[in-house]
Amino acid sequence: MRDATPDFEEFVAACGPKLLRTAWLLTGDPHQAEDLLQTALAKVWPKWDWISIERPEAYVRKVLVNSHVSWWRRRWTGELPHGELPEPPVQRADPFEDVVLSQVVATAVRALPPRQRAVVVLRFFEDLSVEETAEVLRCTTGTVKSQTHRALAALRGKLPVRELMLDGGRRDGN
Amino acid sequence: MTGTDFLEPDRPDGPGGADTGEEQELRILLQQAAPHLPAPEDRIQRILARAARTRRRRRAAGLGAGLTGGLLAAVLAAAPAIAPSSPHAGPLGVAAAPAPAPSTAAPSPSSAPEGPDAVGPLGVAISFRTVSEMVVNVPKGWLTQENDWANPEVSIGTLANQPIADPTACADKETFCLPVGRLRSGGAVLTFRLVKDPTRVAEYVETSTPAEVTTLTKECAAVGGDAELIGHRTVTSTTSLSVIELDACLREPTTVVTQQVQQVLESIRSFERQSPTPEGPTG
Repeated sequence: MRDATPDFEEFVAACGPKLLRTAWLLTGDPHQAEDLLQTALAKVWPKWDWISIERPEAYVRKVLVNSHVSWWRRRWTGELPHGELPEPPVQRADPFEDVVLSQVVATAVRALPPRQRAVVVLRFFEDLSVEETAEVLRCTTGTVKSQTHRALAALRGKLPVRELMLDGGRRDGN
Repeated sequence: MTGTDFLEPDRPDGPGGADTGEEQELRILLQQAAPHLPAPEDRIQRILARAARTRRRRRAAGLGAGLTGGLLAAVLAAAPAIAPSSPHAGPLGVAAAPAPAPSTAAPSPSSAPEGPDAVGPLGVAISFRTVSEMVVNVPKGWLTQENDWANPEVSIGTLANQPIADPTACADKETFCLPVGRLRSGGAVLTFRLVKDPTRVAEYVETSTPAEVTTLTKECAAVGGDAELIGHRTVTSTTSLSVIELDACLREPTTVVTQQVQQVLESIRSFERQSPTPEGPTG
C-alpha cells in the first residue's frame, strides 16, 4: 500500500469536514456519512496523481454523490420513510436543540428518494447551479428542475417551523 | 403540519424559476442542521487500506470473470451446433450470422492452437513505437503489425491469428479499418488504441477488469467479425500515464481464442516494469 501524498492529505484535511457534512445530509447518519466519505476518497486516491488538481473538491463531491446513489440501489438498509414526522421543536433554549434539528432535517431529507435527496443537497447545501447539479448527476437540467420541484413539494410541511428562521443567522459560520 | 410551516403547501413555485424564499430558507436550514462531525484520526490510513482492498478484490474478480467470460463465449460459439435451426441471434450474434462466405484470405498455417485445452503461455513481448511505454505479449504463432495511422487514438498496432494485410490496404491514415482480409472461423484481429478523451481516461484508468463483449462495430463487421471484445489497461512512463484500449474483433470465437484475448489484455504493462528487452513487432 503506497503512502498518501502530502497534497492528498492536505486535501482531506481541508475539504473533509465540508464533504462529511454533505455525506451526512445524504445518509442522515454520522457513521454512514464517514463510511461514504471514505468510500469516495478511496475511489479517488488511486487516480490522485492523474486527476486535474484544478477542482479536486468538485471531482470528489461527484464521486461521493454517485457512490451514495449506487449504494442505495445495491442495498436496502431497512429504512422506511414515514408519512408523518415528529412534531418539530418550537423552543430553542434547550441545549439539545441542535441535535433535534439535525434529526428532524435528516428524517425529512432521508424520506426523499435518493436522486431527489442528492438534488436537494447539491442545490441547496452545496449551492450548485441547475447545470452543475445536472453535470454531477449525469442527467439533464430538466430532470434536475423536476426533481427539485418534487423534492420541495415533498418537504413542504415536514421541516421545522418559522421560529427556526427567526434566529437562523445566529449560527452562520459555525 | 402547522400554519407556521416554512415550506407552505400552497405556494406556487416553478422549478426552474428564480430562487424563491423557500429555497433560500431551505439553504439556511440545511446549513444549520448539518452537524460538524469529528474526523477519525486514522482517516487517511483507512482510506488507503480501502483502496488497497478494492484493488485486490478487483484483481481477484478479474481473474474469475475472465474465466467465466471464456466459458460463456465457448457456449455461445457452440450455440449454432446445439440449435442449428435457431433463426435468431444470440447475444453475440453467432446464431444469426449468415452462412460463411468463401474466405478470400489465404489459409493461415496453423497459427492458433486448436482444441479447448490448447491455451498455453504467451510468446514474446513486444512494444510499438507510437506508444513505446506499453509492452504486451503475443500469443505463440500470432502475427503483429505496427500501424501507421497518424493518430494513436485510431490505432497503435495490430495482432492477429491470421495473415495481416499490408497497412496500405486501408484507404487512408485517418479512417480506421482492420488490416486483414476476411476473418476465418476462429479468427481474431486485435487493435490497440490510446485513450485520450479525459472523461474516458477517468473512467478506465487503473481498470483491471477483463475484456467485455461490446456492440459490433461496422469495421469489425466489414471483415466478417461477429463478436467484439473490449478492455482497458493503464501504463505509465516516468512522466505520464496512458490508458490503452484493446479492441478484439472475432469471428465465431472459440474458447481458446477468447482466452488468448484475455491473456493479451492481462499482459499489457508498462515498459519500465519489464526486465527483458521487448522485441519490436513482427509480421
